[in-house]
Amino acid sequence: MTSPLTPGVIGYLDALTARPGETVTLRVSVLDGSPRYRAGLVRLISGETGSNGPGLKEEAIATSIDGEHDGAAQYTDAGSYAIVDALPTLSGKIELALLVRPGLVGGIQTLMALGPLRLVLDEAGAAALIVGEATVSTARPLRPQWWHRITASYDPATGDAHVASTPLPGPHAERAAAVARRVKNGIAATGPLLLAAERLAPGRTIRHFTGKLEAPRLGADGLAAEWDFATGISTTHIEDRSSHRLHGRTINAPKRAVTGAAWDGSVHDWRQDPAHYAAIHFHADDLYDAGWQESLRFALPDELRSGFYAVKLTTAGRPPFHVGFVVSPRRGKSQARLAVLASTMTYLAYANYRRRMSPGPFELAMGALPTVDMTDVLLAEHPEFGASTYDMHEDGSGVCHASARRPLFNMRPTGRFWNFSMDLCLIDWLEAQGIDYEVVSDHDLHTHGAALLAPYRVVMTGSHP
Amino acid sequence: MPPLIDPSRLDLAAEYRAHPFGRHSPALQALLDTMRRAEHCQDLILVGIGDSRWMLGERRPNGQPPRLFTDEVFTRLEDGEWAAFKRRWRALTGSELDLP
Repeated sequence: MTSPLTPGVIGYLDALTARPGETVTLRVSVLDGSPRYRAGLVRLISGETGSNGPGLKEEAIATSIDGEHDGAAQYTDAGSYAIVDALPTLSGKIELALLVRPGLVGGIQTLMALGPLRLVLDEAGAAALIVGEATVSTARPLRPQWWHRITASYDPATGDAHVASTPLPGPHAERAAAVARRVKNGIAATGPLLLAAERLAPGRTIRHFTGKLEAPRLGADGLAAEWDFATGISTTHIEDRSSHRLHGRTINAPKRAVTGAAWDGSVHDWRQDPAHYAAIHFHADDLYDAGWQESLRFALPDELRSGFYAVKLTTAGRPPFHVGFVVSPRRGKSQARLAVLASTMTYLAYANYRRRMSPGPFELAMGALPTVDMTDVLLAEHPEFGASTYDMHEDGSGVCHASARRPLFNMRPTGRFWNFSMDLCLIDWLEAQGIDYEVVSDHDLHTHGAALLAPYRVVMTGSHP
Repeated sequence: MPPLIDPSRLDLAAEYRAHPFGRHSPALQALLDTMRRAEHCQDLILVGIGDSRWMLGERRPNGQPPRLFTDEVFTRLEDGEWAAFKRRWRALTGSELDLP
């Protein structure tokens, strides 16, 4: 249960920009246990500026979502991994191998999962093979941030299990370890194959691995698959180089184009030699798509004026949660001479910024206590909603993806006076001056190019283009 | 070892209470710089709870939710800043700040 002062319901839209007459899809999760929540569309004119500014100004717009709706909590399956769905029935001795560079040690982290057969780093960080209920561990922890080769096998006919970890050539080669044991026989490895996590149920994964993996291999009777992460680096595709063509896909945007075990410093761009970048960096806190079920779908009014908008969500006794977005003018129907370019790319880059909640030197720089609000506290209560590109993952590597397919805690007129809420100052000023304007977004500009701006005599950027 | 800030400089505390934001005298700025250093700042923040009300909070490592000091609610940011100043004064001097 959340703090009683935080918003009780949150949500996200399928797009950051929409046009009059278009249908908008909203995904909602109720966090405070309320059976129902209220929704409504508001046009945003001014943000929460404090006592020295005009204060929050919003105007309700009638749509079909006005009023109360049934709601429930929706699950967010955070953590990146790769999956090979279409695996044939596995028979005979199962052999697993891959290169591993752990990002951190702690808790069981799954490297390769085939149902009840799992190759993991155990709680101490040692390579271990879990066969049903039995665990066979080398008991020698891998060294974080160093590459190791791990091999393992299990023969369901005999119950013979083996696992070994070998540091790649370097100053710590003496840390090689191997163990062999007989465990229960007859345990059947089953698909799908997961890399960097294991599956509790479809859409629910656990025991995510944080660190880099490279060149995973799977062997069984009549099968020898080997995935090459240097292929398809700019995609979500992972390629099996074998004749079996057991291709897979990545989930939740793990970081690709990262240096692999073969990187020797001779290239600094994956396009120059992808073989040096044949690793994928997985993180337990990656999130690309929260994957919530659709909650509300509604049409924007045909005559809706262009501007900043939000779907305002509330449960009884709790502060609202604003799901901000931009309404652009209909294509070819621009009437104003002034366009405000809403910095939706910047809003995304800063979305779910978490460093303000961590101790730091901000007060020394700002000359005042850092201020947050209870929506920021709600974000801190929910690490599964991912971070911003200004944050770090748990292993100290930087967050490099920003996705809109999750609740965005900064596209709102309240809270930190920054980006989205600060850009509303410009809107309020234009309104006060009686200057006709339309709002287009970075995403519109990316999609339609410079022609989007051609009808306007003036284009104004926001506080942080 | 003498305290890091001079507990007799009530004039600096009075200057801060009157004008917590903006430009300060060099002596007050030096005192604030000491208070705001990582080892003394107590990781304090101000947490808005709506309707122009704030509480002091304490940030915790790794972005965990802050600890909230719910016993005191401020209706002006200046009052929250002053409460933080008094907490730090007490920690650095060992005595309560008692201004007339």
